[in-house]
Amino acid sequence: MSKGWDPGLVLSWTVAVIVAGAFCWLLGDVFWNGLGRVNWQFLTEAPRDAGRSGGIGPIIVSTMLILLVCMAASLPLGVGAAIYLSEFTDSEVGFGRMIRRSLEVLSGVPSIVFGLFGSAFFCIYLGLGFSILAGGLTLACMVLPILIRATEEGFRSVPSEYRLGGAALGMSRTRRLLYLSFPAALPSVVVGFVLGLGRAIAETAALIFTSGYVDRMPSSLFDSGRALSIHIFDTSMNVSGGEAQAYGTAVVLVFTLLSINLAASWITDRWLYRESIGS
Amino acid sequence: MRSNVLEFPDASVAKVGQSSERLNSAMTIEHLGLVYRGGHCALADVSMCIAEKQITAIIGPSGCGKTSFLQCLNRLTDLIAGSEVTGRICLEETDVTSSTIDVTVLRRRVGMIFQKPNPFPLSIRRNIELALRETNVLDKKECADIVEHVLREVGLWDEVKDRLDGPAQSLSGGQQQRLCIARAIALKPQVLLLDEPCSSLDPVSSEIVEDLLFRLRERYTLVVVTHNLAQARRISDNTAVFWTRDDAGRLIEFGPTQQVFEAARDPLAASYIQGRRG
Repeated sequence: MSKGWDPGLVLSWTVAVIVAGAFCWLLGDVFWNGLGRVNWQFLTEAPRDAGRSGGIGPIIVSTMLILLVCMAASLPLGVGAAIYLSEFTDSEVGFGRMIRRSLEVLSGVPSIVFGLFGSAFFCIYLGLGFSILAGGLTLACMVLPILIRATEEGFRSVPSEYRLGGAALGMSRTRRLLYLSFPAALPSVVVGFVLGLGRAIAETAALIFTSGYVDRMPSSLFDSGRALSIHIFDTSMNVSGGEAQAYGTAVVLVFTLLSINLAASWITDRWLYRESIGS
Repeated sequence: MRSNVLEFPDASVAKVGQSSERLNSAMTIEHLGLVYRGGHCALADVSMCIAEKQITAIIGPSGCGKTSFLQCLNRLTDLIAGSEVTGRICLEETDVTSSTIDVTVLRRRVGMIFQKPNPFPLSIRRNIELALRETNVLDKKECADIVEHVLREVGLWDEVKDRLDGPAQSLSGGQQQRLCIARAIALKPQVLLLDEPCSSLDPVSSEIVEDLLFRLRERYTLVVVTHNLAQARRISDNTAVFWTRDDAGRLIEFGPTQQVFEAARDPLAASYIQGRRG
């Protein structure tokens, strides 16, 4: 086998090149068309002329608020559920299995369905109307399955020797959880958090019906607010002559996403490194 | 099959060097059975007395229920979903198997050391402090005193006194195991259960731990599971041989170590000890 092409190698290289190429093309296109737009004014000013000119200041603020609501709601719920699933239930039978199955289904539900649900439940039933709060909570529902799965994996991968060792020292279940399992699972919690954040910040469909379109600076969580992704959608689809602004916004969005991912991998690397110095 | 409740070893056949005063029993086990989920019977009808301030060795082939037996003694079996314990275990006046006792208190009285050293991923000091915190020793000075005391007791103090705040997992295997023992005795247990404490260690570390066990015998009651027959013979006062019979782990021989090794009553036990079986 010294001569000729190994078909497996060729295939895997082709696939790799296609995947990497698509990513580079997308990134290149966005940055090529949008980078020129991005400056301090663009980041701080309010949009004018339905988004054809001006900046995206209020939109960045709305996006941050939506994410804040989303994470504030989903983080405690998600980590709590993950701890419950991994430490207090048997994953193969009964209630634990039911929750797990539900999560699997939930994580596959299209985001537009979450949007409809959020609109019906948060906006109409709970009377929140089109608001940042409703949008954030809808995103929280969507992010929960991701967050729970990642966190649960983390808790499950805590070596059982720690638990047994803790138990053998007479530590109660709560204390074992607090002092042994939780610190060891923390990197996974961060990973889950970032995955969730990434999904939330890129979401459009779930927000259209919940946080709405209004591009003014929000004055409270009960105001409607336009997220970055919706601004891109709106300026590129509904506003003729808005494409350039859409590209500019896309640059900001992609840049934020990349930074979040990089920050997360840096944090977990540092963490894992620190943990592994010992072993 | 009817059990032969094996009698507490008679002091008159005790081996040389053992005090001939009347021996107290630290734990009494009566008709102990353990069934795991799915019906696998790990232990059946085990009855024995564990003598106070002596070393009781548990030997037998793999899978005969030795570790399960230890786990029953401090209720670690509670952590195994679906396991069921029958029979009675008494620690002095306390019924260990009772559903009303506080298992965290029990586990402080009956400590356990595992086969693989399992220091927590914390500093050496924190490993012991974390255990102490359970007993509400919160005073810093007192904590530090106990840390030094127990580390001296296991002969680790001189090796680690300059790096108490370094990671416990950077210690060698033998040191880690001694740290685990220190952590356990910081809780002032009455009984220490050791599940093959030397089997994952190199011969030198193993010898150090073995010597330590022999010293600890003066203050604590030790129950040591071991695969090393020579070790059992060297360090233990009493020996119990477990064997799988009728799909369940059973106690087939129990008595003073010398007697078990030289004149076992059970033919299986005798051939196991002589290396012909197992």
